[in-house]
Amino acid sequence: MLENKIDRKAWFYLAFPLLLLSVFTFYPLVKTILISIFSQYNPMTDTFGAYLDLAAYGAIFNDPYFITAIGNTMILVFISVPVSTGLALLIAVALNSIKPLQKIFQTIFFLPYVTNGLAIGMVFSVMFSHPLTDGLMAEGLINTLFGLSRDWVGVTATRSDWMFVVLVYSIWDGLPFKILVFIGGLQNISKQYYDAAKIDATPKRRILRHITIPLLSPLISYILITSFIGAFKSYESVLAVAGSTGRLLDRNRWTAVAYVYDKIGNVGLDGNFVSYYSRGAASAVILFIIILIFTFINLNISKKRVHY
Amino acid sequence: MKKVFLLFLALTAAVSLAACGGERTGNDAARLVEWYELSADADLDPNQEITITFWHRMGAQSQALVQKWIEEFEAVYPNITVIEEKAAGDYTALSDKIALAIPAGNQPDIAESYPDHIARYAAAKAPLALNNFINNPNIGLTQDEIADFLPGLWAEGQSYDDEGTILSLPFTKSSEAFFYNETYFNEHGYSVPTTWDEVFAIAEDIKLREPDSFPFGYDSEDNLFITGSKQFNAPYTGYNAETGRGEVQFNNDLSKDMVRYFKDKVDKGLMITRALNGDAYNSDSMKVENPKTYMYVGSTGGTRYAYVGMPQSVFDGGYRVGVAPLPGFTADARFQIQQGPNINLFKSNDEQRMIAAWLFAKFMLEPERTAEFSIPSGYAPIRYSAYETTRWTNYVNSINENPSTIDEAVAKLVKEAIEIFLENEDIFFTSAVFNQSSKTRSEVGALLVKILAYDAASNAELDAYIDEQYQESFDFITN
Amino acid sequence: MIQYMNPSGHYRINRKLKEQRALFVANKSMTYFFLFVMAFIVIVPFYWMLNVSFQSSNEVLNSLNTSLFPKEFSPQNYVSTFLYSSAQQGGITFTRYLSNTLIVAVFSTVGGTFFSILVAFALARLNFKGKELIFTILLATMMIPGEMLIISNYITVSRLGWVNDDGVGSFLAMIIPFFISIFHIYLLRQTFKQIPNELYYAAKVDGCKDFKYLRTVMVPMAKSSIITIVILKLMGAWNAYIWPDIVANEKYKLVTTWLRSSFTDQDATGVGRVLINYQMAATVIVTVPLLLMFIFFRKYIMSGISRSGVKG
Repeated sequence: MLENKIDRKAWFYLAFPLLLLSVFTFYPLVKTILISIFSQYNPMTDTFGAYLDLAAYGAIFNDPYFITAIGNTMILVFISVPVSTGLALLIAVALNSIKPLQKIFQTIFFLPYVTNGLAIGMVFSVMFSHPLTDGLMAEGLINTLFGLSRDWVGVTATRSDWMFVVLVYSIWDGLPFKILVFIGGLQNISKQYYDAAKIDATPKRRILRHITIPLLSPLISYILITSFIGAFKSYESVLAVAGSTGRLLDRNRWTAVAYVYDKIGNVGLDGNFVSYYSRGAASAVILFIIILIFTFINLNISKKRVHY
Repeated sequence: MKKVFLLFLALTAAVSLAACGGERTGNDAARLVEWYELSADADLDPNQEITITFWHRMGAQSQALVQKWIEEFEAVYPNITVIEEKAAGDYTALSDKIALAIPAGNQPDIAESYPDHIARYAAAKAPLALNNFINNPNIGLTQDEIADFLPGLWAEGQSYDDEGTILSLPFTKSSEAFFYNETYFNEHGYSVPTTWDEVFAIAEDIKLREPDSFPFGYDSEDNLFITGSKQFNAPYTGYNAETGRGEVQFNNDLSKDMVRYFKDKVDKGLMITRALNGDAYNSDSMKVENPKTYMYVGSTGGTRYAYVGMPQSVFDGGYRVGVAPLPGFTADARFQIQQGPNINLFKSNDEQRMIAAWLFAKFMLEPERTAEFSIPSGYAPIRYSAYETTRWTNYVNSINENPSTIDEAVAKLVKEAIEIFLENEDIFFTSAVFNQSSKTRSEVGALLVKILAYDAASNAELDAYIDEQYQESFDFITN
Repeated sequence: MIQYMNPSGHYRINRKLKEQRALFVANKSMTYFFLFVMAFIVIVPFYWMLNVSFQSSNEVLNSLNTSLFPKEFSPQNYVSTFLYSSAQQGGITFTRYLSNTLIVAVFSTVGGTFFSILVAFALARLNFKGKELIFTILLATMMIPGEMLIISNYITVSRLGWVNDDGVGSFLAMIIPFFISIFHIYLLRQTFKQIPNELYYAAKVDGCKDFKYLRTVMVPMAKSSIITIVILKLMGAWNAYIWPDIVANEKYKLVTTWLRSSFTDQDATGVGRVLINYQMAATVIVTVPLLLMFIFFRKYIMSGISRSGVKG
């Protein structure tokens, strides 16, 4: 009976946060949708203009760079998130199982989270640099170590090369937070379970599969869902690694968010008299819908797999 | 959630049916911003208390100078209070902040800006057209005063449409310059080149002697494309005859010829740019023990780096740098781009505020002050008479013509770089400013880099690549 | 063990034990090896920060330089950084930036955590109409790229009179818009959901009010997640750049602004090169407190939830 009681006072808990969120997150979202259907929105005067139609959407679906951007984003999402999560899980489990040096390792693995983005960008460019003209500058670290002469992220880099570097960066960048969350979760798992398993001489892999992962499932689901959402919005990571200094990101390397930002940074109307800003808003809405659908699927899978 | 989704579908259907609204237009008037009508007898009302704001991104040194100017100004006009603010760390951030402030209604009265930024503000008709202020008999500028501004710099304020609307005034300027290893040149009897062919003749000679070198470097690819276009007479951007607005025009054969000219030099190892060199500055290859570069084109804003950071031993060994205006396609087709911030005013509901802002802008641009601003910062003064003030002549006289330390050498080189402005006033040009001008600029830079980096097996393949890339870039910008 | 009881029983047991021990050692070594490799990879950028921060300005102004180790070891950079930046920023010193950042960090963390706990509790434990809908909508707010929020929020915040305010307004503008984070609420909700229902019902039967239950039972049990959130919020405030830079008056800007715009070569015209050695030294200075905080809080995060309330 207690299960079915409706807690009206829940709204007391929610009122103020919901108010803030409506004003500062929900309202902008609604406004973005509106902008996307008023295809001559002027960002400088904040006026919607006279045209209410889907021209902005038509424009972006006709734009090959939008399709490329979505494609790049998909590759990024579906590779970096599972790999990063899996790796973080392994590291967390490994960390949990050792006694000496544990504290030092934990601190080390937290370092990327506190390392400033400026420094990271520099490091990656030094590691993966390649002089386009011979004889002036030396090859970057990776090229030297492996005796290669590849252009990883420069102007002549192939898609697989720069995407590889971006993936490495994204995976690396996502690790500390995930490790932190998993370690916290692992500590929660009662020693009782592990002791029982030890008595039965259960092999490590079975422990992982049948005890650790199910007990960690709420957190794994949280990490997966939030990381997927975050990965769909990737932009700074690609810019830092595969952008050229002082120049914008090459349009073949755009992610969905890069496309949005490029469009909303433009003033005025494009060749078909559609406001660039509206096009940006339209692409943001499309991205939003993709993420929403995807998250739904994720949540549904979680319902079956997650044990609280 | 299903309900929301269905609602969205329904809305979409309804809207697409309601669409197809006939002709879509851009509604372009001839003037980018209508000229504010200032009556001939308008003047500052000394009884009204006025406060105006000036947003900039200057460093502390320049900011202190502006604060001093404000004190002087407020002494002359006691009813005006000027508030200056360092609103952002760099020009892009400043422009973004103003672009946000405009729809919210908190834009400043005066701001530092670049022409491309003004195109953005103009989408809200926010910048103030100064024509009637300049021509006003009470508070405007006299013909002599207008002529005192360096003509190329003054013209930049009118590059927004075909009607002569003035939306900005030059504040301090920089440009590019041709820097060369003077010691090396003297040693081998080279004279300072005035055309590109001369430059590469020297480069070929150096290459024979030093096969591993890249004798000539050009720092900025964006500028190379734009300057090259102007010099080779290849259209880059221009004004559309019908609409009077700027448009992109670089997709033409002359432009491709210009690019091919430089590509050829790069392929022969005579020339290099920053992007081809891991984004390293060319000055850094020139001032070392084993230089790889002997001449480069770089920004006058970076003049000091021709020396700063170099090993003392190399300097003591006699390394000296000379500076000259950019070479041209022919000896009379010498053009170079002008850079450096302008100031612009914003429309306000209160005419007195606009008048006050105008008076302050005028105040800052007086010859004494523009000279005062330039000397510590290395920018060039924007008026001829600035070069004749005592302040300036004292500065020039304090320069050691035979520098014995790096600092003295830097001071000498900076002065010489600034004097290029004085002595070559008609070589400075600007491009049309319109919605896509800043996008065009970065796009042609990237285009040039791609072509220069391309490894073609044959001329035919290179030509095909060039055509393809040009078309792609052009389509990207205009769509 | 019964299967091993045969005439040569002892011998067999020894072998099995030896195998297990060997496996154990091999496992541990592999684990350590794996951890060492990952740690090395992870540490490289941090090393690079330190490397550049100790290089001299001459080295750094030569853009061809990418040495792995400073040629002119310059620890004085750490002091020069403070002096240098004051020259760039006029009257605004590092201490000012620091105190601004601390104010923003403390208020957003305390307020944000408090509200996160409330909302997570409501979502995890309480029953109300539209719970799933609200949760989904909250999740949806994570799906919008940041730039789209900035423009609307700037206008909102400006209508409230907070933008560029020479006073409290700047702080309000920096703190209020983004201090409710569904990202953290979601984490806490997961943790709260793991606390067994029995405890709740038992408390209810005893007449314990919801809020008291939250305060006395759930919060202590979810301590590790709450501390994680506190750390994340502190770091978020510490690293925030774009939004504060836009809305705050120059005197109220944060340490991130200090990092990015105080180290341009002063003597150069307008746009000089960035002195990355000072900038990296500044970055290290700013990073160290975060690290220390992590080291301090580490054991609280790792302590986990005590399960003493429920049997079996």
